[in-house]
This record gives sequence, C-alpha cells and structure tokens, in this order.
Amino acid sequence: MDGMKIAGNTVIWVIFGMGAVTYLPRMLPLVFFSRLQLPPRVSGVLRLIPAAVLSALVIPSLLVTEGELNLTLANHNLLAAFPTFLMAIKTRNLLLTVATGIFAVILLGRLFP
Amino acid sequence: MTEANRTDRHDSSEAGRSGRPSSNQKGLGAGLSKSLPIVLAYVPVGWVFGVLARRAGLTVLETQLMSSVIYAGAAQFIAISMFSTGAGAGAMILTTFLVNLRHVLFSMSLAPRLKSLTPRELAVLAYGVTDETFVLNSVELDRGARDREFILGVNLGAFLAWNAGTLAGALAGGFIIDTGALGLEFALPALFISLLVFQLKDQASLVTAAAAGVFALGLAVWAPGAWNIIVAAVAAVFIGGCLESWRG
Repeated sequence: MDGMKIAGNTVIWVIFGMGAVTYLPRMLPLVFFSRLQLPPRVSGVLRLIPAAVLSALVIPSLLVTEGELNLTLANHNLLAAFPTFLMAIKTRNLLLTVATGIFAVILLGRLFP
Repeated sequence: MTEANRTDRHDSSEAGRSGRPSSNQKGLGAGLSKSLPIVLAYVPVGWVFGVLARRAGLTVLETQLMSSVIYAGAAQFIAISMFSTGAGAGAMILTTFLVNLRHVLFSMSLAPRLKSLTPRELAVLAYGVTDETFVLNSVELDRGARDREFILGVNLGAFLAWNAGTLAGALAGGFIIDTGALGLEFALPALFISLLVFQLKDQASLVTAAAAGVFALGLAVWAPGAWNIIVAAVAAVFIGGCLESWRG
C-alpha cells in the first residue's frame, strides 16, 4: 500500500514520539497534580476532542473520493456508512458494527460492481 | 506507604492466591480477574489493530511497538490511517497528543484517591490509564479501599490483552493477500464510525462532531493535507466548548 511518507527507521522514532505525548498527559497529573482541579471549561473542552478528531477523519473519508465530493451511488463507502451508523447507535458494539460495515461493502461490491 | 497498607498487602496477597471471597478486592490476582471484561474487549480490537497496521505497511515490530509504547486504541487507529495517507511525523504526533489529552482528566480524577502512593508507583500505574481501566478503577476505588497491586492488576490485564491481540493480528495480518474482495478497506472507517458514535453523548459532542465533519470536508475538497484533521478538530472543539459554556 503506497502512501507511507515516513521511511523505515524513522517510523520507530515517530512511534516513540507518539508514545511520549501519550504518556505525559497520563503521568504528570497523577504524580504532580493530585490536589489541582481543572476548571470545568477546560475539562469540558478536553472531553470533546476525540469526537472532533474522529469526525474530521470519518466524514471526508465517506464523502470525498480522490479529492472530489462524491455523493453518487457509486460511493460504496457512503452507502455502507448508513447501516454502520445505525448498528453503532443500536448495539453500541464495536465488533458488530465493524462487521456490519464490512458486510455492507462486500454486498455493495457484488450488487453494483 | 502506611503501616496499615503494608499489613493489608501482606494479607491480601495470600488471600488473593487462595481465592477467598472476602478479599477479592485486594492484590494483583484480584485486579487481574476484575480486568476480564476489558480483556475480552481488548483482545479482538487489538487483533483488528494488528491486522490493519500490517495492511497500512507497518512491520510486525512497528505494530507491536505502537501497542506497547503508545497503548491508546483510538490514537493508534488514527495513526495508522495517517501513515497510509502519507502524513508527516509532526502532524501525527500532534494529532496523537490531542486525541490522548483527555487522559489528563482521568489521571486528575484518580489522583486524589491514590495519594498514598509514591511518585514512582504512580508513574507505573499512569502507564495503564485508558478509558476502560479508568472507568473500572474509578468504580472499584469508589466501592472501597483498593491497594496498589489491585490497580496494577487491572492495568496489567488490560495491557497484556491489548498487546496479545495486536501480536496475533499482526502475525495473521501478514498472510492476507488479496483483501479487495474482503471489504477490509472499510474496516477502519467502520471502526471510526463506531468510536465516533460512542463519543456522541450530549448536544455539545454532537455539535462538535458535526462542525468537525463540515470543516474537514471543506478542507479536504479545497486544501487537502494531514493538518486538516487538526485544524478542523480544533475549530470544532472551540465551537463545542463555547456551546457548553453558554449553556452551562
């Protein structure tokens, strides 16, 4: 799969970099700030970040094909997203939802190649 | 460490090994067994990560390193997605940082209840803070006294499960040849959809997600690039945050 811009051994450094920026927010408050309370506005904002990042990733991947907005029936990702969303909302089960999405895409691929 | 804690630890280790019900709240074994629900979730999802990471072009070593060095599900999946699209190191590290920043909340919430632990012990336990272990440990700590071995047991069980799943997936993933017909390209988007839905708990998160989606869409069409995610996310969080302030 092409696209990996980061070369072989640099990948390892990037991973450690990601590890460091993950560990520090886990560790520093636990060790140093046991008595501090974050203002509710700040904690409220932190809570929203995963939703924003996930949406920023998912929405374009469903609606954009090769740099162009694709709202046609040929966009199997977009069509498969509907049952996937529904399954996620209904069951809140990660594996079931992923399985639904994959099944939908396979089905669409066979029905409308 | 107080005298009481030392006594507890000694008693509980023995009791934990013999499995007497009155002491199922203390000791490494107790923590490990309490982590079972998390283990059951982490093994398959870790497996999915292992498979997808290999498909994105990572080696088994790199895949395993991600699960052991980063150890954060959502961020790891996002990272391999960014690897695939050729994102640069800076964008990836910043995105990882932003996505995992919420762990600050978890640690701050746990800290008051772990005051008797030394900084070194806290540093070790901090490594295992995830959404799931945070919830479990919080509930357990609220129910009564738990010693440091218990918390460690919970964290260790979860960590091993995630890494075992990753290893299995990474090794199995190497054997997949033609995946086009298997629809696995949609596995990651489907997973993100799942994780996204789990995050949508209230109006603020819905608005934030909607805004992020719209911004990211606009940027993707007019100005493609890996920093789009961060820009869209920051802008959306700003809006969501304002909404929360006005209502609250």
